[in-house]
Amino acid sequence: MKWYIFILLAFLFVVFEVAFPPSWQLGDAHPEFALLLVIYVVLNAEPEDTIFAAWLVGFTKDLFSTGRLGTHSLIYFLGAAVLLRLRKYFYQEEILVQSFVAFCAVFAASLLYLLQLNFVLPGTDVSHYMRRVLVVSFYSAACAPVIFLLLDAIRRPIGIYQKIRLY
Amino acid sequence: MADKLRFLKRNRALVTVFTISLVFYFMPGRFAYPVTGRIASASANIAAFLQPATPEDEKESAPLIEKLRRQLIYERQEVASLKNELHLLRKELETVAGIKTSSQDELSRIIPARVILRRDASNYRRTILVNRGSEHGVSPGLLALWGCEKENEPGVCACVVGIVDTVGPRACRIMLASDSGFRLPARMLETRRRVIVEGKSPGLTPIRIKHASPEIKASPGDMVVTSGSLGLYPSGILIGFVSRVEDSDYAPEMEILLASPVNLDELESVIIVELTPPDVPEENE
Repeated sequence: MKWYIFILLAFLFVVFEVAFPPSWQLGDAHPEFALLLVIYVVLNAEPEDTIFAAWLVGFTKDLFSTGRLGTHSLIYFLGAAVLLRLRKYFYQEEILVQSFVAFCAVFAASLLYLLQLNFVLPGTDVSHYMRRVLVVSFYSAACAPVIFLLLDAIRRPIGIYQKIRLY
Repeated sequence: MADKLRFLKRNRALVTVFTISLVFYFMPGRFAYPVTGRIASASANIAAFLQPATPEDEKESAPLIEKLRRQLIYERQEVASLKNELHLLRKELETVAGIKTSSQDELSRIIPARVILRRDASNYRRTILVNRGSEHGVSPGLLALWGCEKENEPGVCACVVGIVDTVGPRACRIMLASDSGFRLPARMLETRRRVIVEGKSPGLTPIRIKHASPEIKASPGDMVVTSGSLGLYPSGILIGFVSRVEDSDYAPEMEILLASPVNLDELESVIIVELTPPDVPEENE
């Protein structure tokens, strides 16, 4: 992994997430581009690089968010660790599978985030946000194939020379 | 035990990253704020670089500041009239033996700020980043207000849009009133009952009073203002209007949904103010 390029890419993804055009939002939700980057890396990069890459993307996202420093990095770190264990079961080239993985990962990460929010701010109504979690997960899943295609096109500069095939 | 040690040695990098994550996450606020403040400032600078101010913007800023100052003057008048009303009510209730009027309130600092980033990276938080930081006198916990002109009558009404969260040298992050972490002691203007307002979600009713007692007797259109009960903020600043009252899961309590006079998702500028709280004893209720 070429880390300096990856850091730049992570930064660009988070900035795009923050500056996502309001007219493209679904309701009030935007896709989790940073998490899609993590999923791509976990599915395709060398296992030893993935966890740190996920943490790095999460930390970049923390820079642009409120709340406890390290929340996203911790969630992405744990998510990457779980997904890394499961990736041999996925056929990475299949668009539907990619979208399904993205949906599940975004859903799980969002739930984890809301649970920690409830822990930090007691009284936060997690059920109140469930509709938003579903919208964000669906939207991210819909964007996943496009983002993965884009990342496929630039995977060599990032340092992912050969897609790991485990199926 | 030996297996665990072997696992730790083999995954040294992972364990290190995980430990760093935990340290960051559980870092107490007093240590975290300087770090997060600087980071907020850095991200604001980057955001400002991505959205550079045009010369037209610079030209616009002077009248904007002047307009905001004028709005604040009107806002003081509004606050003063509310306080006057409060004073009269206190007299009527004959519980005001030693209560002074709150006319000594001072706006010790008025900091107009422009919104640089209108969104949080998280889908579940509502914050904005503005171009004023500790170098301009901003500190965590200050109120962020917005002034709005009334349509059919002269004067301006100010309302609370959020609280300063983290502060960097040249930028700060403001937690909007619609954020789930927003909590503010407030008071129903009509019934004088104390409540806690909290952020709900963006939309028509971004603020709510979650556990409202039936004695509050709120009805649509009632105003909710800051109570000043903690001594952190002065009383009488508008937070929102009662939009509707819903049954709560914890009957007989109710949930009161409030509408903000301003669209919190489309703020372009705010006024960060530090107001010296009035030296008024707490009301007996």
